[in-house]
Amino acid sequence: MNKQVVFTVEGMSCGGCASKIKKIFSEEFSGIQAEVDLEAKRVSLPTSFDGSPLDAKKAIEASGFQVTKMQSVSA
Amino acid sequence: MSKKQFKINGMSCASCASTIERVAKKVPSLNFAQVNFATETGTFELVDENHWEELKSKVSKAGFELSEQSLSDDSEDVSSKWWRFYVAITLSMGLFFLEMTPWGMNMSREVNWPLQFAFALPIWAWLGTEFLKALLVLFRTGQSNMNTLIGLGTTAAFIYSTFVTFFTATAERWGFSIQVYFEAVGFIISFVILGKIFEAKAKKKALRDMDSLYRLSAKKARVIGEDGVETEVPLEEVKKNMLIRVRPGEKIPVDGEITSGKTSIDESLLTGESLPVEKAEGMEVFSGTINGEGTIDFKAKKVGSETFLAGVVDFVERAQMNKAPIQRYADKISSVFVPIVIVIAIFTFFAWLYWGPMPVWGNALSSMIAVLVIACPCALGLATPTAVVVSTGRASRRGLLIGGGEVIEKGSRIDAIIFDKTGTITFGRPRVSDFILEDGVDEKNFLQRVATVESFSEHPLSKAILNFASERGISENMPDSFEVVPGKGIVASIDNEEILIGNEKLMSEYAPDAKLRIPDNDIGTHIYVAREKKFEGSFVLEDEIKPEAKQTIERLQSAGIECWMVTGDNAKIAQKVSEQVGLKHFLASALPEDKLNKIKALQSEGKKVAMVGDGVNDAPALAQADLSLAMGSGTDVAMEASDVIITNGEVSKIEEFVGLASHSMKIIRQNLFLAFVYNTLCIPLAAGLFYLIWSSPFPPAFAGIAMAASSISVVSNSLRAGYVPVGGK
Repeated sequence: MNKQVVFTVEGMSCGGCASKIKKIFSEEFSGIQAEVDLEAKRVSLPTSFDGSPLDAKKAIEASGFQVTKMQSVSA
Repeated sequence: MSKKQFKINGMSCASCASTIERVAKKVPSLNFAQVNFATETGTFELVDENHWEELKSKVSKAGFELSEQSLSDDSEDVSSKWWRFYVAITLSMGLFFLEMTPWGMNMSREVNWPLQFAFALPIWAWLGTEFLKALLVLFRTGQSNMNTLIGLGTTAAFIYSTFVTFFTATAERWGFSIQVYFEAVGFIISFVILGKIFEAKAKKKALRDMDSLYRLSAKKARVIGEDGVETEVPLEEVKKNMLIRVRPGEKIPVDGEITSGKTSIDESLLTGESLPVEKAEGMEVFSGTINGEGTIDFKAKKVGSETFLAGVVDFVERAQMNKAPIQRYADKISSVFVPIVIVIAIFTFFAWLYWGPMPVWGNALSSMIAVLVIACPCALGLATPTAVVVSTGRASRRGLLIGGGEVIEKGSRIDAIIFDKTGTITFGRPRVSDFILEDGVDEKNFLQRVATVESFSEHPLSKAILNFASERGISENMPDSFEVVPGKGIVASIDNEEILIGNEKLMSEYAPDAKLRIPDNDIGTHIYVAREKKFEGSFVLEDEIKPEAKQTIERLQSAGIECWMVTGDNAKIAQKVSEQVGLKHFLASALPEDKLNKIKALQSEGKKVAMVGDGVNDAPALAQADLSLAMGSGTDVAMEASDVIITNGEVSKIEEFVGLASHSMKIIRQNLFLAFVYNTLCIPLAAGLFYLIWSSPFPPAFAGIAMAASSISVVSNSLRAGYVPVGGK
């Protein structure tokens, strides 16, 4: 039973940041399509994401953003 | 702006160094020039890059050569001097045979003297070229150095002897002493060459420690391409983010982070730590360190001049160019010394001519030669830089980087040291020192929940608690949700249960009814844990005191140095830490400006104050202090800003620095005393005192021996500077 992981990310200010985060997932997590909602500071990963949410968090933070919240919701 | 460092050929004493600096200042766009006689290097900075050729030609007109070859390669130079000595001494023995033995004395003068001339000519004109060159420079530019003195002395002797040999009748008519001094020319040049070989060898030995830093870096790196194929590339071609493989026993080529593999790495040359450090995935590796038994792959993070090793080399190089204030006096003295000696020598010559005993010309000449040769201020010029080079070079291999002669001189005069608590006396990383559980809570499940939440946090306190759990064999799970509440803690959920981990503020906001308890030990930071709004347990975290802090502070205090600890923590914590390390004074709840004011207050009492900090947060205080020491472990040290850097973060190095600084200053003072006494005693002796005592003029060849001996004794004394006495002052 896969869960959908949603992060709240501080420090995303524009479309550039959004695409940077999307790129992280498409490159480092075998083509995962992340959804980024700049307004709500939200990054959502699809249920097909089977990696570790912790690794995902670290990858986001390694690019200079800050994850303040993580939620995994049963799909 | 363009800056270059050169190896300088042709320097014979400290006055050469100041001559080069003076000449360089004539280049219009020169911004900075510093020449180090001991390391035979010079650093120059020009505003206009096109002026390098002008600088080189100006310097070469003064008789020196700026060369851009590798700084550490001078082995050829020394060995080429050895044969010069062998040839010179063989020819001199021939001269001795002709002049001093019965067999030579029985020869007729018409055969003997021209023969002596033939032996002495190659010594004077060929082996002693550097002295003749110095003489030419004197006539052309008025610049003088120790070679000028040797050149003047031997040339005067040679020309006089040649004149007497070939124009004996004229010489007799003019009242010259009919005597030749070819053997003096031979022996003086031989001994001076010998002295220079020894001096070069000693200087080389002093530089060896620094050389070993240069040699630390690997020449090649094994890069793994995207296809997984290994290729060896020269170090310069390694770029950031390249994946690099290092096999057992190889050097780490650049700085980076291990991506796979496990090993132990010998970092002793960078940090002074003799035990290999265990390294695994995610840990940093530094260029120049030596891989142990494992194979590792790592991602290059810093290359070229950004690496830690490059920073260390740069710091040490700048340190060796930095002149101690005491050396400036020596430089000043030796730059006026040579002209004064020439005047004394001329005065000696005429004094003997007018008032001296028979044969006046001969006595006057040999006394003048002796004065010129014996007075070389070489020892004076070597006194400070050799000691500085030796002590900074050796210290750098023990994890102690010293910013040069000035820092050593200041370090020997320190009255008070201010320690920043966090990162200096303590490790600056909190550790769980105690924890309690509410009745009925299972420890394993509790720690499991805590670890699961804390694994998501980057906060240092979270990491400490996570460490504490994993030391007990607990591994974390995945929380369902996780949220950081800034300044308060974390709200998370596991299996649909709310977990709160944080300080009192978090608890009063999210679980106001929970009954909080803390361990009895009430010093430190408290972290509470609540599950479904009910208190489950709490942790006490303390910053661990470095084990060697107590001994270091006790030794410094017993050496009469006033030690202070300043900290932003409250008085309770400060009091406890002070007691544990035996500190007499502390300042608690200190803001950065309080630290600054404390330093000013101590300084206004006339004290010389050193500040020890982590170099990051204490910039104003470090700048105000007479001396700043930065504690670092790894790459995060601000190298530019500090006088002394302790690369391995060991607080005991502070004591070592103070001990080394006062020991080095003692050696420098001994050296200056030796050199000064030597010159003030020997000049009158050579000028005539010797005659008054032993009724014979000072033999010029002795002057050559004495001159070489003084330099050698000063340099050998400096070699002791590396041995650091334990126990501070």
